[in-house]
Amino acid sequence: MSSEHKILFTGTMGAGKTTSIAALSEIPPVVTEALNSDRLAYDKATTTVALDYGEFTLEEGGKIQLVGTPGQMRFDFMWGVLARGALGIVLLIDNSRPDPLADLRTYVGHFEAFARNGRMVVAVGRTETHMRPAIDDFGDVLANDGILLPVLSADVRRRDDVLMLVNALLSQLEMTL
Amino acid sequence: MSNADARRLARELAEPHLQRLADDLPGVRAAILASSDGFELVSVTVTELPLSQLSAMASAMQGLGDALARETGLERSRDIIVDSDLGKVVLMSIPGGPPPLVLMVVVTDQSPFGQLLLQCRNCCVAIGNDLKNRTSMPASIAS
Repeated sequence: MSSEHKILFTGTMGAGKTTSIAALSEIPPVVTEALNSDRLAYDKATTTVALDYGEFTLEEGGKIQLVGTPGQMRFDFMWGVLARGALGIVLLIDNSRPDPLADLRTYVGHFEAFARNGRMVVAVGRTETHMRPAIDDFGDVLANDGILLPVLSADVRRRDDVLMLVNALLSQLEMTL
Repeated sequence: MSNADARRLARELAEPHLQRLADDLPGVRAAILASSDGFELVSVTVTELPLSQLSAMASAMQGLGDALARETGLERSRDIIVDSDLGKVVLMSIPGGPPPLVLMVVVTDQSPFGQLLLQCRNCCVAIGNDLKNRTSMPASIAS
């Protein structure tokens, strides 16, 4: 792989998009955080309103732009803007939310072209404390819709886990491109 | 003060200022006060527009402006102007927060640019002063 490519990190609010990019980026991430005034919906002090941005260099020398979307649906106009030209997507699922499988369907539906072309990896977080749905359940939902994607458990606070996700996506892309 | 009370206060304080802006400035289609995380708090509209979506866009633009200003060493972004074929959109931060708020004003090309900027800035300062005077407004403003 050569030159510069973009990988998009998306998922619900609090799923770990900003954390993932901060864990892997070699530059101080560019963030667009605002005070979260909707603490009833999600008890988190700040929320991303436009994008997160970081950079990561591959061993072969290519540069990866790490771009994170805002999570809330009211910012979905940004999703398409940020996805333009992306090589692939890391979809982060928060397993502590009320219906993680519905979250999966929502985001896969929005980024359907990426999912159907195999340009997506699904990462399920907080599985240590919330074991259901199981990883296989996510794969089953995708399979029922005729989609085959890697589904992995990940703690995106750990750089190695985020690196694993990026490598999984790049491996997946090598097979599909 | 509860979130709902704080939201009511912002609405009560800002609405007359938005109305005055819409009355005094030619070509106003909408004036919206939004929270920095994209919720519409209060608005005055002349033309029907998707206010919730515009509020989210206002906060995203303001967030991008802040990031751009920070990355270029220019500190905080204050204003963003979208100059388009048939009019302009002005985004301005309300000074003196918290809570961080953003004013979005949509105008047609009937609005002289200098007057637009001046009256939008006056509106922001007036809202900021009123909020400061009634202070003890919590950071959380959405119910």
